[in-house]
Amino acid sequence: MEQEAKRTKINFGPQHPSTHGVLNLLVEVEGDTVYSAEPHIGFLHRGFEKLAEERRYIQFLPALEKGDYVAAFAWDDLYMALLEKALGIEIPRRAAAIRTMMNEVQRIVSHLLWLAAFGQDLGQPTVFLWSFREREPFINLFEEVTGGRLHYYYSRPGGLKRDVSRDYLDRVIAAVAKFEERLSELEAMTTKNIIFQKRTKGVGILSKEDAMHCGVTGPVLRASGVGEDIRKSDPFLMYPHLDLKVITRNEGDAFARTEVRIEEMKESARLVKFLARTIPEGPVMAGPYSETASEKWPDSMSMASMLKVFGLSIPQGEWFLRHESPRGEIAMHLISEGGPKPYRLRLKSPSFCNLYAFSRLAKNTKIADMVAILGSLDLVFGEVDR
Amino acid sequence: MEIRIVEANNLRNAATELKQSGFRLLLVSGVDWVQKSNTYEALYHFSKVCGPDLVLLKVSVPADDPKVPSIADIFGLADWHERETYDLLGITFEGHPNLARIFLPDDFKGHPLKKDFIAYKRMLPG
Repeated sequence: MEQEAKRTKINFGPQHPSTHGVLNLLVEVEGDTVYSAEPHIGFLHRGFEKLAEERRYIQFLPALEKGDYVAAFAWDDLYMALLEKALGIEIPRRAAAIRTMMNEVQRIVSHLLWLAAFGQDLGQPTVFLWSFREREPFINLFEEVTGGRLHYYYSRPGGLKRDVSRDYLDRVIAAVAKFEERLSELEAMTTKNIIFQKRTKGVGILSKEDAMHCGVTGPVLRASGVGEDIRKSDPFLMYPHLDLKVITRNEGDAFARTEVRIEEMKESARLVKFLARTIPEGPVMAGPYSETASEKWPDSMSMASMLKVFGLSIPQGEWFLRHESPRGEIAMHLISEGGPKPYRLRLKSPSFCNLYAFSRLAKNTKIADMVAILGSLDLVFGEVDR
Repeated sequence: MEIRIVEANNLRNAATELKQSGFRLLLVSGVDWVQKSNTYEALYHFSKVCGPDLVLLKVSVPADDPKVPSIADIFGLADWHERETYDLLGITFEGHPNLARIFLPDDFKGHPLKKDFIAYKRMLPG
């Protein structure tokens, strides 16, 4: 009883910088020991599933990309692949290869942003600055071809908005090669740094059983020893043809999660280089909406072809598709009753599932470790709250 | 994807069986079919661990009393997903440890994913 009385309940966030957005934790502490931490979410809830039902299929795209604003390509391509599956459009191999390449570049960019934020959480501003420096060339490459730095809208039903040149692909290869060089510097600052190791090793251990029970996915699950990667187990785009190595660790602590993400960046860099060298020639648009291809400009922007894309309607039926975003498994279930709007569109966000494991991990830790655990889960609150 | 229609009282058995045969829970959601057949449908997506197999369980419940047994003790993830489905669609999960709203404030009126919930006063064109 006396023990209980010493415990204090405090609000952690939603304005705290370590909460990566808008998370409110109700933390029960005694001294700096955390006894329980209960996440309160929903501050960024915009009702994506309702928005989808009230909009035409293409009109929903801008909202969707604001979900996971750190890895918009993954959601974008999954949504497009879902529409294409429902419409029965087969996209050209070149378009599929470019989408796959962009997804892998996005994975590097997303993991770099995570590393930056994680470094900041652990009191290493250098990691923050260096990660942002490495991220910049890729963002510039995205901007060059899509026009956006975070929100791309690069995919169209049936292909891509714009083709990429050989010169562009060479520059992607050069940028990735340079990144691989610089990554060893980042490793020296993090996984090979004794201070970083002390802050993360043995912190926030998620056992294999707990990981399966809590339904975490992505790097968090792989760091707990389960080799689940949707790119391998249920692939689409060019992933079935890629020789992909699934990276796992058995420790399940914050350090293992860091290692998994760093190794994944190396693996993605290898895939990007391979894809950029082997992208097949050919058109980037196919199917009923190919009039909107950029080479047909200005006709592509004519009222008639725009109306055709915006009037896109999907027959009655159900479709389900999933993909591995940098944060974990994303999935969409579309139920259509015919017409230009979905009847129901269910989105699965990995951050939401990973955050569920948090209160289990934060029990009986120190406040500083709790911040490290929260950072190691790689949460994006646009995606948690949808 | 394999679709299985199950009765509400058989859901927990079906979920336990799937867990024993190596499936993990992916998603819990629901659909409003009130205008069509006066029912709500709870959907449970399962996926084989490290495999492409998918199973979708569909549970149909009457619209005037939408109640489904909770599977939060079988799959931990269902805890938050059931809260979300309750919050947005109003399906009650019986036996859930803490069936509170998760996204919306506690004093929010209505469940936005119901088809009769008007999100905008002005309907968007089209």
